[in-house]
Amino acid sequence: MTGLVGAVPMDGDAAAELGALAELCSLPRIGPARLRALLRDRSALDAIGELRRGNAAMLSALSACRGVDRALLSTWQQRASAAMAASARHGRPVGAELLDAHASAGVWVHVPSGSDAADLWETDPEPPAVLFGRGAPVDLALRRVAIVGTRRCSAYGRTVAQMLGEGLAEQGVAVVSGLATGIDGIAQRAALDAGGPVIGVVGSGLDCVYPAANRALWADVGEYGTLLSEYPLGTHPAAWQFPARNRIVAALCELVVVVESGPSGGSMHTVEAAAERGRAVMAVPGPITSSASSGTNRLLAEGCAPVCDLDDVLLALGATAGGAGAAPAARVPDDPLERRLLDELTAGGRSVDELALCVEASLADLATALGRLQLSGWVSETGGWWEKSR
Amino acid sequence: MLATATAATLVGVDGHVVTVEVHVTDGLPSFTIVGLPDAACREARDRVRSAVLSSGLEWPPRRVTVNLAPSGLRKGGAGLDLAIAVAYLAVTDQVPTDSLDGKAFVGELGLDGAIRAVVGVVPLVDALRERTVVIAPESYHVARAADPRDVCTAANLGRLASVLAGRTPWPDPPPDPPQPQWEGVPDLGDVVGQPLARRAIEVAAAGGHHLLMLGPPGAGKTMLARRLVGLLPELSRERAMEATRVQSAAGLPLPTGLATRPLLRSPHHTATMAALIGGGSPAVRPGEVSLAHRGVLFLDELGEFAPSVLDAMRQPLEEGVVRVSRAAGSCEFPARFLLVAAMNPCPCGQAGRPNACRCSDYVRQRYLRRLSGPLLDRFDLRVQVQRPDPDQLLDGTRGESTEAVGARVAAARERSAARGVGSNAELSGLELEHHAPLTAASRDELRRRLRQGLLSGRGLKRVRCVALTLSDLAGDEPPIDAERLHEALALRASVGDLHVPAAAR
Repeated sequence: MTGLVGAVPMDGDAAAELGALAELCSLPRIGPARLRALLRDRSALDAIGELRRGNAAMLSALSACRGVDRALLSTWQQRASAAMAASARHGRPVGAELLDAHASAGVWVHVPSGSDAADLWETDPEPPAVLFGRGAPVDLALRRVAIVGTRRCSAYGRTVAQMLGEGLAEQGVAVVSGLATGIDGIAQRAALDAGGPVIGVVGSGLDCVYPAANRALWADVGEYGTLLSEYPLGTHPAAWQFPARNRIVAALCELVVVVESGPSGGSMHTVEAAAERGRAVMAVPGPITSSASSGTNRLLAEGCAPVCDLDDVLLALGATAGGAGAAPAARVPDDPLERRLLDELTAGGRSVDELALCVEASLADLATALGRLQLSGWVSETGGWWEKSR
Repeated sequence: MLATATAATLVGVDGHVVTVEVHVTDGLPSFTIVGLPDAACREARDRVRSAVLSSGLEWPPRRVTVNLAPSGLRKGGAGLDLAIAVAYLAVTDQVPTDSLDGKAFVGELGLDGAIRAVVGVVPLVDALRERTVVIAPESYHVARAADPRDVCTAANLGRLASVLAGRTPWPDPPPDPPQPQWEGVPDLGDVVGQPLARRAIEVAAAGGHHLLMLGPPGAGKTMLARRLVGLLPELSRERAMEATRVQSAAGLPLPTGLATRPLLRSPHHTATMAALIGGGSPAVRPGEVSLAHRGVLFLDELGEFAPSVLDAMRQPLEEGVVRVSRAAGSCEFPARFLLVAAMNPCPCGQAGRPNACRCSDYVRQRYLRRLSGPLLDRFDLRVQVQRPDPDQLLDGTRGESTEAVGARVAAARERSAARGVGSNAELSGLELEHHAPLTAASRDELRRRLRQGLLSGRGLKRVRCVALTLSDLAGDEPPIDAERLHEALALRASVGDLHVPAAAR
């Protein structure tokens, strides 16, 4: 596939259309489905005009959307009239101020319908009406893999997300993800640090960082990769925006890798969206006792391809591992106590007390063994809990 | 006509000598107290007059003025009643004036003339130690703790007047109160399983290291904190006196007189700043950090305390004293305590157990954000405490007793005392380098950890302190070997950086 998901060229008419579109997607509580109903068979400029006039056919189509009531419709109509009144007053096209605000914040606007990435969106069941972006445009010639997973990941999940993010970046494969806490963010950070292309799709305005802890990551993705959002600047995160965001992650990638996931949640939304769009889904196997892997193991049981190492992903992508040999096998600890501890930790996190009881070693010996394993990267510790990280 | 008597009043945890001057003249009958008395002190008028009359003594209708010198010092409480009464008796020639010389009077009067105990006997008597202190019988044993020249008691004003007039000898001091049953501090042997937590309280007791226990409610954290107090050695006389003064000033019961056993204070998490740090107005009272002076301050549910209150503890933790300043003046309270805290690392009750915890990262971070990094840094020991395994509870063998562990702790404390510090936790970086050199292997070990970001610069120092305590407990000589370091590291769980991916650290 070729094309660029990036800024669209603008002449006078296109700018007016874009402004109207920006106004429409700034309407309160407007989601992709409602926006599609609004724009069905008409341009954004016409839509905003008709909204102001109160075109009966349009209003009834909108009322058919779930959750749209009279009050919301009248709010929208007032907003449309206000926007058109402002445009008449200043003698500028509708939404020009909005577009200026985005341009001065370094945000470009991508409209799927008229762009050279139309191929990507034409086949999509729910294409976004507009995408706001920061950073380089997305080159669709790039190989793109989505790495997604739970926000509450285990040490194992972190290690895998990091390994995959880094490995894909080294092969020049773009990592697409949702920039959330947990697996998403870790994979993106690893890919960024390895200098690979990254595409982050977020569920709020590009200036409304969520979660706030990922502020630095957002900034870096916006600078060294591409940061995309369906929502104009100033849109605060809302729960329904995240599943909507996941469908864009699924649309933009060629392959989804689920690292860790519970039986339901955002990652499973992405998997469903990927299945709808014919994108391949792969899952990373995990311990059957770990709730963070219950969703991925279920996917595997249902016939999804497993990811046992980076090559599995590259193979599925049809790319080869560019001559990079397999990572050197880690030294398997030869100390019997260390091996015993690794076995115990396979089932999930343990506290030192629990370990001391089941291996019957003195605290000093146990601490020494754990310390060695930690240094060589076999195990990790958080809040007094020890987990196997490979 | 004028007579004076000596007494003392409490400011913070210190007694200040007060001279009570009583002047009686002809004129319209009245009774006035001047010299900054507070409400309770001003009410002495009514108590003293009734007590004198009830004791069969006389109160001729004349003009009485009482001055409490120094007049710039605010006097609180009813402790000056007795001194006002005897000075009045002296000025009205009911007792000889010279019988008050060399004596001091501390006590509240009842309307029937009974002499009652007051709060803060130990610091008050301490301020009057050059004199014979006359006091209520129930305060006798506590007052002896301050080691004054002499303590006399009288049950009521009438008895006291006849003693001062030379008609009867001093009554015998009250018999020793029955020694309180040594309910003791519960034994460490009762703790089944939980080897890490047992080890942690042993190390905390030996090295004075502040301890943070992470675990769900019901895991036995309070039980462990109580046993930690039992492991601490008896206080030396000097330290016991410091602690007793504060406890007496706060009105805590002192059944044994001098408080030679370290105290455990466990304030509820709704404690206010004034309750924890000290404060109040107009009389400034010591807070829990001072009541726990030379003892243990146990904060259960650390995460539920108000963040501002917790941060206010940083200064006393650093300096061992609290300075409470109010418009009326400032007080300094001693506050050198062993901090033991317990908390759930997240609100769901799974205590952050990987893959079992149901809390979102946001919730967990918000929960931990209440604890500032600098406060978390003060905890040298952070251990995970889980509910014991049922098999262990039913069939587990008893652990080592308090006596056995306490002996090790005492020996380790002696070794650290030989270094000239109260406990290893107080060692500075330079002293550590001198007293706790590292073997080449342990130096390498630490270097690798620092490089991998598994350990911070501050953490490095604290780990070395704990390793030194571990080697003191084992009776080893320095240098510190890698095994001790590993154990010290295992006693220091990472808290507060839970959101940092382990692999990225």
